Amino acid sequence: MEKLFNFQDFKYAIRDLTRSYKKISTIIFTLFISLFVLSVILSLEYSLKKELNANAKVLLGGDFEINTRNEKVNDQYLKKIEKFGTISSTVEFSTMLANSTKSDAKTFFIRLKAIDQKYPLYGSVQSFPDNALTSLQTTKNSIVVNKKIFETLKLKVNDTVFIKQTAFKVVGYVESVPDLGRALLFGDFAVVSTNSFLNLNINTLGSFINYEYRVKLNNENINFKQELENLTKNYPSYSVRYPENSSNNLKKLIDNFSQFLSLVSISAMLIAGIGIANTLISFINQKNISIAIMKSLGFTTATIKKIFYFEIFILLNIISLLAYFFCCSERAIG
Amino acid sequence: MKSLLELQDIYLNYKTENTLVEVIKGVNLKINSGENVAVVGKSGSGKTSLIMLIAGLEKATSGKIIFEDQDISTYSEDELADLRKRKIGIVFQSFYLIPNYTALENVSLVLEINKIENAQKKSAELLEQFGLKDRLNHFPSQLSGGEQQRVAIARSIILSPKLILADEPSGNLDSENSKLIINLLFKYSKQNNSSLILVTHDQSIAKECDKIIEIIDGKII
Repeated sequence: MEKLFNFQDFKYAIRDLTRSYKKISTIIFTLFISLFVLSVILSLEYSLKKELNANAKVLLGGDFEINTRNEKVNDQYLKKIEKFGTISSTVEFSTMLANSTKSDAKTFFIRLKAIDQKYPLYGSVQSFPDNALTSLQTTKNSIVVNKKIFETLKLKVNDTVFIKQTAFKVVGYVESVPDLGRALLFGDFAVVSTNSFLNLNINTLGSFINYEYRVKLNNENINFKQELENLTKNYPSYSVRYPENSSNNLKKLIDNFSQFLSLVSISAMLIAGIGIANTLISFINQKNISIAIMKSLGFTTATIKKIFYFEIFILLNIISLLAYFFCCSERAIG
Repeated sequence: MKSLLELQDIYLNYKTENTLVEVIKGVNLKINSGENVAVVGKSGSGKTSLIMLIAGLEKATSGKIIFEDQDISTYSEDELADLRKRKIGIVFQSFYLIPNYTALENVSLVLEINKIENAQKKSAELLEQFGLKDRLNHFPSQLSGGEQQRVAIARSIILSPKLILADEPSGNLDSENSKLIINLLFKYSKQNNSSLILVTHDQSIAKECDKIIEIIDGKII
């Protein structure tokens, strides 16, 4: 029985490989591209997830969040929660925003967010003008829209937009809000104050309204989870989210995206694989004479195969490492 | 003289789609140690097939091949490879050097696979004797036909094999190189007491051998 690894065979493989670089350049190129794309996708996914975890509290908007659908949380429950820290309550729902009440009005399907004065507990809102969020709380029936709506409708500060026939004064636009992990990642959105939201009287319409209560702990070191879960047990319709699952939607989206890209890369590899297989066949065919000579000199079939397997093994390893290092350097530059 | 090789009633047939091609038809042959044998015959008469059978690169359809009192016709591929590695040197008409190995590496390969020490040094010394001192690190494509064949002969004799099979070794060479090559083959086979089976079309070369075998249509006449 022949040894699986024989240094002599390995030496022949290296010798053959280093002297056939022109023939193997095509294999190297196709394999490198496929593996490089795959490495980039995997490292991109890793970086995104790492970033998400690092900013989990900002993405959630608090140390934890209690949310309910279509009903506010119980006052007694809320009082008990207040012991943990500062609460900021927001309301979110989907609706239509129009630039007039006429039939030819331009409309946008938006996610409307009603915020209280404590919002945001973590992170910051980037708006124009800078005091737009303050104006929102001080001006009755005021609104800030996202930049895209502001630009598309050619709005100016103090213009009027309509939600469910109710007029809202535009006090600026918002470029980003910190708690992106929820539903504001894609699509248009607008922000109003909680008071302005109450004027909409919208809860009577049976819309899907999310009530969210974010809490910033007074003392980050306290172990609140067990107590919170015990409290929430009595309210099965309440759900609690923590920073580690703050961006579930976003994570799912990134997962789907990276799976899609991986699929593209694997398909590319599969297609490249056919090319590589053909190239390898032609590589072996070109070695037919060498193989015949080796056989005539007394090499066994197993030894010859081993030499070629070594060559392919070395090739694949070098290309994989190359792809990995290129990918890392790309990430470092990026 | 002791018998080195004996072919007993050897047949070699190839089956094509509808027909059976009989290449070797009942060949009987005996070659002694140190004996030089010329194999002559027209193209397609079966000379090369006979060499391939003796080398174990072809399997006989029937018959026995006895090498050093062993029936090698029953050997497995690996056993035949081992036999070639240790005891048989082969020289082809088209030289057949490994293209991406240097002249020195082509020769030392035979010693390396037999785990003989100082392979490179011994190979270099032999190549120097063959007048290839300045060509040691040249690749086959950088050598002339005559030089390539000298490397091939060096490769075939470096291990002092029991048997050297030379299939028209001078077929692709001019008369001057041809003479040089044949002389080298005779000199070193005699020096090592190797038997030599030399396939040739050249009657003058054949006459220099101890024995001449003529093959016509797969049969020894």
